[in-house]
Amino acid sequence: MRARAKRRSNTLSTLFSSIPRSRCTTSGKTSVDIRSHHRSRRCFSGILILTLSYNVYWQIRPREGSQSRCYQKLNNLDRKMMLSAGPQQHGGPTQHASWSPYDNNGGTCVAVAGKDYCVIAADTRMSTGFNILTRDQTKVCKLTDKCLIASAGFRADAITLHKTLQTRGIMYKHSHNKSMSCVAMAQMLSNTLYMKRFFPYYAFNLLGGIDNEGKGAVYTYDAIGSYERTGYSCQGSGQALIMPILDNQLKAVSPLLVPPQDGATPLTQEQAVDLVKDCFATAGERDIYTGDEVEIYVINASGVHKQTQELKLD
Amino acid sequence: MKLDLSALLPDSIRPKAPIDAALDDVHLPGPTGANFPLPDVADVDSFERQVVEMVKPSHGTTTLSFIFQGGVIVAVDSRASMGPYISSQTVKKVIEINPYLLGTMAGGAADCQFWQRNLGIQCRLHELNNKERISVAGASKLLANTLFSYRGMGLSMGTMVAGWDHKGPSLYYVDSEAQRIKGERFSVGSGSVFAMGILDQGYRWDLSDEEARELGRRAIYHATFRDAMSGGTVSVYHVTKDGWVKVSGDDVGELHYHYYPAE
Repeated sequence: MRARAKRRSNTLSTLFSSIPRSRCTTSGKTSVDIRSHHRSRRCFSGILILTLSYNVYWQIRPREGSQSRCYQKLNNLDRKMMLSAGPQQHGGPTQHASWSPYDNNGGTCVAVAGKDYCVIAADTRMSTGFNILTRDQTKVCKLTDKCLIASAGFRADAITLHKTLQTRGIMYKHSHNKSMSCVAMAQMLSNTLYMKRFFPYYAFNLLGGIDNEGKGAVYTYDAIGSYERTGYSCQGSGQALIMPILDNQLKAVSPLLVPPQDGATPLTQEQAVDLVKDCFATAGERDIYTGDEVEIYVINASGVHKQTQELKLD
Repeated sequence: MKLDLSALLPDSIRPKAPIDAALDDVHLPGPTGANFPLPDVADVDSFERQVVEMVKPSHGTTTLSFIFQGGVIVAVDSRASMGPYISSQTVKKVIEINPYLLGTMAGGAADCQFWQRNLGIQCRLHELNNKERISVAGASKLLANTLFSYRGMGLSMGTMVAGWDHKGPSLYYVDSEAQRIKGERFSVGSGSVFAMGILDQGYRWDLSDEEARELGRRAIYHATFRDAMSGGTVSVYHVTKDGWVKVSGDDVGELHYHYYPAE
């Protein structure tokens, strides 16, 4: 038991020494305190040390957006200069000049809002360059009972974003005892994207759902959080192919007109689903990143319904 | 009497003013409190340039605003483009900060939307703290100060803050270089040169309300006609002592037949 405890503590101290000071959430002094505190307890039992290391982990992990207090106090230009001095400054590995944190995994998302429904769909192909990585990776994520998100672009960023939104949705539900509305979720997504203004999520998002009045809603975003409520939208690699079809088939009344005009999509739910299927079949013919299968989600008063449609595999 | 020395205490144990605490609660990035993560790359500047190339944030605009005897006119188009692709024809480029204050957006759509919403929050907090509405000079300075703290970080916005306060109508231009200018006539965006031409030609202090609205509308229409990155709908707002009203919103396609009637 004691040997095991010792081994754990060794791993832990290696962990400590490998963390650069500037990345600790607490000041240098506090982390020394944690160390001595830990040393005095290590002979007790493995379990205790496990719990302790868990706590320590939460305290020392570089929390997003709140590095160290002194780091936080530097103004942005200083921070930029500190970072531009390069990662070598904190003894890390050399970074290649050509390295990029981003990739583009392609794919297309479409959403159409109707009077009392919303259709949101995305294909399931995931590619990189000229390689198809998988044919069944979903791009759609259910955030609440009345709100879904679909994201094209970089899959890793999209997954992180979906998880963040889902978590915040759950936390909102726990503290307010009601689900987050689609309108609130839309604003939150915008804020979440903008908080990464200088290191953006490389994801192009569509949010679809039913608003507080029971009407279909589609929100469309750019990668850094500018957003707008529209009647229909398309994002991703097939955007330039599909958007003109939607413009042609659906009524695009500007909400800015005075006097205001009714902008609801004139299609029935079934017609909208058919239109979306056609859009994907068309885009699949000309876009190498769109294909395999399309997942179509219909959100209406009775809930969320999923259906799929085969696309060409070539 | 007990002196309040709380300002000398370290941040962590200092009692917070109720409004600061409320801000903490909703995690709003204030002018100083915002903390945007930066990428851990060797050269942040070239990284930011690459990002702009990749995400192609929405851009391109014509906005104008001028003061005349009847108040302030604010007129804008509604197109957003990502490179040569028109990403939207229905962007709301006038941001209604409060019933007496308007902001316009030109440049990065996300930057404008986010920071003007943030300005709205700051103005409301000013109102709650001081029991009176913020002046246009004050509001524009709040925005300029916010933008000053992000200077050189690659934000892109050219905005006009227009409104009516205790001194009457007033108009400020604020941009992402933290420049802040008071004036009576401004035009911002890719189509601003065209709009300014029309505006200078037709402007007088003593324009009637209807003439002034028409001048704003005409200037934006002609900018959409010559500037490929402007278009969509022309919206015109009028700020008077009773606050702003949206006067008109017309599709450019229809305005064309109004200005160039078919023979």
